[in-house]
Amino acid sequence: MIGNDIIDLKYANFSAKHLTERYLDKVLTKSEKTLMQQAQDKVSFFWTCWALKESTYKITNKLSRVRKFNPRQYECQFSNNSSENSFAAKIETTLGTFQAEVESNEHCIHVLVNTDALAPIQCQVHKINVCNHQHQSQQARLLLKEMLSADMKCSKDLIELKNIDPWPGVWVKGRLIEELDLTISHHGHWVSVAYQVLSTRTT
Amino acid sequence: MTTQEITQKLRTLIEPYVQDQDAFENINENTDLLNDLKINSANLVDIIIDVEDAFDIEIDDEAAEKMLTVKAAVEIIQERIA
Repeated sequence: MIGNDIIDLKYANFSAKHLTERYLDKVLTKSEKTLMQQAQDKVSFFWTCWALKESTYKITNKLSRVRKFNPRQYECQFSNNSSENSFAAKIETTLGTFQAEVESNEHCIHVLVNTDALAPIQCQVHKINVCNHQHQSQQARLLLKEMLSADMKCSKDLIELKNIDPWPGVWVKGRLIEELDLTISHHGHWVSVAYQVLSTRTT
Repeated sequence: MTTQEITQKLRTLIEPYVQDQDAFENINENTDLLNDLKINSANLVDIIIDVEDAFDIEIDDEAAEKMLTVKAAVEIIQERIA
């Protein structure tokens, strides 16, 4: 099972009071706040924690089928080399500990959480020009279709995406691909799409 | 404060974070803040802080995690201003 999140740092820092003490108290645990005080780039640290929590929530939500997001029930743990642009992290939750990969640069932070390290994943991150919700959503869906089309070697016209509450489902040639676990995130000028490679292929 | 007054005040607080204006025009008690109004999840925390200030109440983690629809938000506010 996978979950992702992408944060456009320019857009994120534009829009909120996210680094006020009060906001942090509602999102971070005590130990995360301590780590944030020690972090060289506090803004980047905060959004990395947020993306880790949000990505993990996407998995716990699938597992529990309960829509409740309390960011403080997700505790991020980092290794010593987490100041690099690409590193692993762990997230402790009431449903267990999850492993994540974090990639960051001056533009965005991308997190992918995976419950099965052996299962191959297709994942792409794209920059888009317009950052309104409708365009972000369209671009994410288009990217997913292109990835599936290339992976399954079929025309993207044969791929349909429909919302099956609460997650999107993928139909190929009119058949629902139930084995597909996918996750989509968009924020600002960035979209990220990931899915676990199918064990049963429709060709 | 009546339910209608709370809902109206809540509507004003939510508006700056809404990304789907059509859904906002048709807002009702069943409207989902994330799925319908497309509010970014990080902005949900902003809304909780704004609601605390506007109604002079405190919303703890347990209540905050349920504030996903207009109806749930109104109920949480009602319980705390009573």
